[in-house]
Amino acid sequence: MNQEMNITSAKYAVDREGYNSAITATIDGITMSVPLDPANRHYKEIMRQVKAGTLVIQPADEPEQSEEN
Amino acid sequence: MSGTLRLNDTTFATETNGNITTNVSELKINDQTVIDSNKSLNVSDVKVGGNTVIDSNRKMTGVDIVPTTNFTFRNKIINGNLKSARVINQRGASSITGATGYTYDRWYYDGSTYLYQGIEDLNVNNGTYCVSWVGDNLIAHWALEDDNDTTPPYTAGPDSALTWNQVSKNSTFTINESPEHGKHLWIRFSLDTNGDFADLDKVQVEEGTVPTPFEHRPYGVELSLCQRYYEKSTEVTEQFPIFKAREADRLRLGTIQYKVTKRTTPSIVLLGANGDGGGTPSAASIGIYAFRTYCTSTGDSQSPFVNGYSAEAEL
Repeated sequence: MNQEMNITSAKYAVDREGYNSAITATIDGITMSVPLDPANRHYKEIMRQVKAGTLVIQPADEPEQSEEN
Repeated sequence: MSGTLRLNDTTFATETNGNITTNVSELKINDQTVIDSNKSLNVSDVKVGGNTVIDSNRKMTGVDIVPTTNFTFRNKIINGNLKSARVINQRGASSITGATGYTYDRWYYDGSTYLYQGIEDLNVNNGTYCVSWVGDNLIAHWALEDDNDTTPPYTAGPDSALTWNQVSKNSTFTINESPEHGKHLWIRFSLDTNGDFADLDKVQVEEGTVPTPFEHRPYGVELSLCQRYYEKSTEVTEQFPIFKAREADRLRLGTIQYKVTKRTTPSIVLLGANGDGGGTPSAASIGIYAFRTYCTSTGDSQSPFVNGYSAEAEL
């Protein structure tokens, strides 16, 4: 391994249509929104740990039904 | 076949297989030394076709120069002026090895052995590269990384399993890939027995076969180059946030444009995000140009806000 990251939580975030659009993760103690982009190094590491069985991405909360102005 | 040109019993020149070697120590024309014993051209000006191209003040004029490498933006390394007060350090690292991970802009420290910088594939061409730096007792390697992995497990960042090739200071290596683009070029430094990363300075990787003086780019340009990979806004106060909304029972949205378009979709950290008792603002619709921050409040009087952000798209 390479850029070993300490990922303590990972949870999908959904867009207004209810599709997974990012992962809200705590990486090395910092909470961030990680896009679902294979060129993003945080996403790469999340998926590597998922593949290794050391991390599970929690499903997103149900999207709240609000009206946008 | 070979031959000898002699004048007054003195060998003036010899010829072997078309190569002529002269034995004279000086070349004079009309008693004026044109080439002296130190092989220096000793003329007041140099003319080509009757036109002066180098005058007596060593100024070159009227010359078309066709370089084999770039005159500007030669250095593929970003933020290589490490010991300068102008080194770019948006993360506020205490030193280039002050933490594991990215410290000074574009530089990644693995926490023990190696200091890395990745040059993204779009800036890597086939050809010969010369590596130079200031500082002793440092060892450099280079490697290419194919970043086209589309299925897990991915490899994030500098990969110790890559084929690393050592390259000496002021020496060259050659890239000959097919297709030409599509691989990141990684440079890494390690230390020998007496080494200290704090000695590393003026790192340059340039196309060509010889090291040229370190390229000092304008500070704003260098900062912009760094911000393609990481940028951070000032963390302002709640009174003047970058995003704030108050609207009864509505989804609150704001769009934030980056200073510089990102290499790829960045990870977003919101600074001082506060839901004012309702839903905490988060990042959404993240792109390479901008992202949105939004939240859903639970009460009419809530005023969620965000004080700043960082966006990271490093290799």
